[in-house]
Amino acid sequence: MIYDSSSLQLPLRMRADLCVVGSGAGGSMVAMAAAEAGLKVVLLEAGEFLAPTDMSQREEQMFPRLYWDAGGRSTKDRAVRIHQGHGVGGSTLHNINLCKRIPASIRAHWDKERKLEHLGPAVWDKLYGQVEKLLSVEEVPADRVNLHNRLMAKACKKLGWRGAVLKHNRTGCAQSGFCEVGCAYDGKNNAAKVVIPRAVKAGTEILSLCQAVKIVHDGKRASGVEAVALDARTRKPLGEIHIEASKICLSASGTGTPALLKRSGAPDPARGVGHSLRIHPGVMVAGLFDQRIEAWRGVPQTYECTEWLELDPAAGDKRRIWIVPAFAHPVGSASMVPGHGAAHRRIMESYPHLGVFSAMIHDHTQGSVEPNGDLGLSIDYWPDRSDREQLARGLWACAKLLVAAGAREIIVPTRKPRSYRPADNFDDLLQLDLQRGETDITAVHPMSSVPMGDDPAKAAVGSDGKHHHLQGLWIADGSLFPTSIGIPPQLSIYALGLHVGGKIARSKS
Amino acid sequence: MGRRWQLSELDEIPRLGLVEEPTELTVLAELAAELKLESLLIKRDDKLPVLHGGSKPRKLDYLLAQAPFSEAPGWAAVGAIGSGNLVAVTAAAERLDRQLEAHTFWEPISDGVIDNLAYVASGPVQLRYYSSRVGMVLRRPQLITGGKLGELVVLPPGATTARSMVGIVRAALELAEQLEAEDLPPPERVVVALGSGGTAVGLAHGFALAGIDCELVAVSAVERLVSSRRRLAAMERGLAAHLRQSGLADAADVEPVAIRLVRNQLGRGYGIATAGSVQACSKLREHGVLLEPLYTGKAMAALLAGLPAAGGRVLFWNTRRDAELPERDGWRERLPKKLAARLALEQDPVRKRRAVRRRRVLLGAAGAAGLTAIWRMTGYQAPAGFRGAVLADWEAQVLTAVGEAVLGKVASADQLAQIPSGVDRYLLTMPPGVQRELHLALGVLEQATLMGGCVSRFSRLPVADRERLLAGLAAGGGLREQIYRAVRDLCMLGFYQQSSSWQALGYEGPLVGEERMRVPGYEQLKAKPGAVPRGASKS
Repeated sequence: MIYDSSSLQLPLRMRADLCVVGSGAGGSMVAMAAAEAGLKVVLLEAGEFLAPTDMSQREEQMFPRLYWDAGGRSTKDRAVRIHQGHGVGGSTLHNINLCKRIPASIRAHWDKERKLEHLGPAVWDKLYGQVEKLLSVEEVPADRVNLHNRLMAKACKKLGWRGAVLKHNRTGCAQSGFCEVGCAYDGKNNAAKVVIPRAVKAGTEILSLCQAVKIVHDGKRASGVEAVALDARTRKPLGEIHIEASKICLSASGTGTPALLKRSGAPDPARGVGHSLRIHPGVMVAGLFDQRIEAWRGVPQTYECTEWLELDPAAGDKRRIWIVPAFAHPVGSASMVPGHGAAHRRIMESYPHLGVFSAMIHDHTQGSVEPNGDLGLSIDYWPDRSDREQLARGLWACAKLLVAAGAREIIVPTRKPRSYRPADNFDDLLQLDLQRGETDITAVHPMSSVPMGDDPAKAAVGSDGKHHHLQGLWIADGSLFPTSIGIPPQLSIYALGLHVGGKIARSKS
Repeated sequence: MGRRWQLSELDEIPRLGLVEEPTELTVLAELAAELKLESLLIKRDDKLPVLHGGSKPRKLDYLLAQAPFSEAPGWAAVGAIGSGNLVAVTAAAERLDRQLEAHTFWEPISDGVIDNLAYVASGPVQLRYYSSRVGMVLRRPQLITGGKLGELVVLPPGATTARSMVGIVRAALELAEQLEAEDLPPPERVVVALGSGGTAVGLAHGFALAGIDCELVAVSAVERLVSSRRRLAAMERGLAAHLRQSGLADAADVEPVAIRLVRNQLGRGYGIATAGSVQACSKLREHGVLLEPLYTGKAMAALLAGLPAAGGRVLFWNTRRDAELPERDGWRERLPKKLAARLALEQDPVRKRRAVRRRRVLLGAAGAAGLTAIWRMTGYQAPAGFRGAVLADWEAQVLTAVGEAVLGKVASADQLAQIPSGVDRYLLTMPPGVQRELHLALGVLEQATLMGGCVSRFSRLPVADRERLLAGLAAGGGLREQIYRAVRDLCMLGFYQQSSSWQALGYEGPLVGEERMRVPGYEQLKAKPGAVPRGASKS
């Protein structure tokens, strides 16, 4: 069952075979796989348990309930915003349901470089098959591709650029367009809808509003988790919760997991934990169209442009840009539109006529994560020159696409906003050296902060998800990816959860 | 009122066991008749037979049983030179064999102040002196923020923490059992002096647990800044959270009895007697009850002045220490030089007059600067109906002023007035570090005009000047731009969340209303209220 920790008698002590920290794509799958194999599982989730009836479709109400720091999490220099979700189901509650497999070329590269005995390309393929079936992953039907996305398809065709309709995990989608503030129609085949019920049915006890603080260990073996119950309104700690378990799995995200490991003083002889964070930083460009687009309506992000994306490591690093339409409701849009006063208002009043394309990059920059107090964390990340060049090229490519789609004005939200007419030359964008604050850089995919590898001298965690130096400890989330993956990670994190969950269930220790 | 709690039920929370027997209740029938009260009881914490009495030992009983105080080799404590709290802490240090570093600042001297100072200076104490509270905080911020000074753990001002307030909750339960044992009706109104707030908050919570349905009249002996209603509410939340953490969730979830704050007895300020408080001490001495003029005297003065609708059964909680402290010789030699010099000056009328003249000249200059500061830092009025959990009234006004500048004529006065409330709700779940940065950003923005030599603060500038200042910040890069982005984004959030702003955008808003889709499967996953997870036990 799912318990609201803030209503339990505190302090509380629990015993279980397995304690999973984090209930997103990775943690929910671990809990389901282990519980169905007969383990007594307790799952800790820092956010609330939200049902479709709780989703009000209002940004100001749902951001605090669905996102860490109410959606305001950022790097410590405030230069890059990083949106991460909490709640039973993690980021799958608010994500846009994009399902892509990590290309075989990247998986093969990892296998070669990191010696992933338990997770070779063939194992990935099998896991992907299972997860896609479980989540009913399908290409979005043509009649559900909204005008905003059709404009990108039109632009790709006109420019001769590579593009395709995406696959999503949705059933019963009402096409409301409110995906990023939680689905009120139960249309997402996400962790909360598909995986958590099976985990609960198999006996998993889920403590919502319960944030893990430390792993208990003696330097050789993990034996439990110290956590706190949180107040739903203020997110302040209310009391302590101690979980005793011989097996612990961290699925607290690409930022939460390394912060937890470091706060706990988990052994890390390779000194790799928290030092190779990738985040897929992204920028966006708006286009003003004569026609009404009403981009907030319908299924978002159903079409991708991959003309500037080459994920094969052998292909060099000049094409690392993934482009999709992106749009927000008024609060989010108003914060992204630059400036204030009449100039800001002019763009806001054109809201139904706006199209926005976003360029996210397959990043090489290695950021870092450190714990900050008992409950917080601190992220240090600023894209290196090569990644900034890719971001600048992303702005250029978005502008080209918007013009090809029919926009009559292009607005690049730099510090001093740039406005272009279709006939203008955008090549100055290619020369743009992005400095902090020059334009909004946003990321939604932190990963690779605890890169897996089977050599204990080079990695803290093996390809079975098992910690090399603390017996009884596993990891199952995007922090395991050895590098950036360049595409939305949810499908791969579900797959990792299934993989590690199975390993835990079969483990004797 | 829910079920009535018993004193023994608080035994789950560890304490030193300093306070055992209830302090006596004195009935003042004559004074009650004079004041047209049905009855007047005095709760005699001054007779508490430990650490020289007063209510402080009740707090220390719990506070000092808790780590890190219980494990520290010694403590650092803060107070005015005649602080009653320092007397109790000195006695506790002596009794528990701990070092004590007392950080003191000046207050006007009286017999009571000298008695307390003499006692503290004679104890196992390293005495330190600062000529002002502000100077002390600037040099040793840990004394207010907490933490350590070397090996010594800093005790909170007034010994008030969520944990120490449990000692006061206990006192309320003690009173309830005492009233029942002595067959006395419960008071309808309890009057107490308000200092750090711990006693008032603890009693209000304790009375609710004890089933004493009364109004608590807290007479402030300190400035509004340190006894604001918001601060008391935060202390109550802290107390409830501590009870919950201690496994007493039922005791946490009660509605404390109402606290009425009375502020008209403060006079010239904290630590300064008033004519009313001196008269109150004198009056009560006639009835065999000793008060001091800085706290309890002011509280009694409020009662003697006739609290609004004060009739009925009244209990006055005497929180002062025992009248007599042991006399010790040679205490003046142990004072820090600066403090000894100041004492000597204050007690020599001729030298004091000269010093006063010098001070007046300096004060004249400081006054001009002060008036400018007051002009810049007071007179805020939050939008009607604004009750901030995170933002102060002045911050609400600054945000409204930013909104007017960045939104222009698009936003109506009503819409602007709604911005701070919307922002405040959003900020509530932000991490404390982010909240601190935002407070700082608003403060810097509000006072940014000083850089240009302008006397008016930001929120008093004409709209066009505010807009220019914000545009300058935006163009400035670095921290200036971050401040601009922070306040601009908050205003956009506060404005565009209002449904009245959407029509102009052609945005229809949420498609769901109050009636939302109910999916039975989700309800079935939720544990029933009161259910306990499998494998769970109370620590």
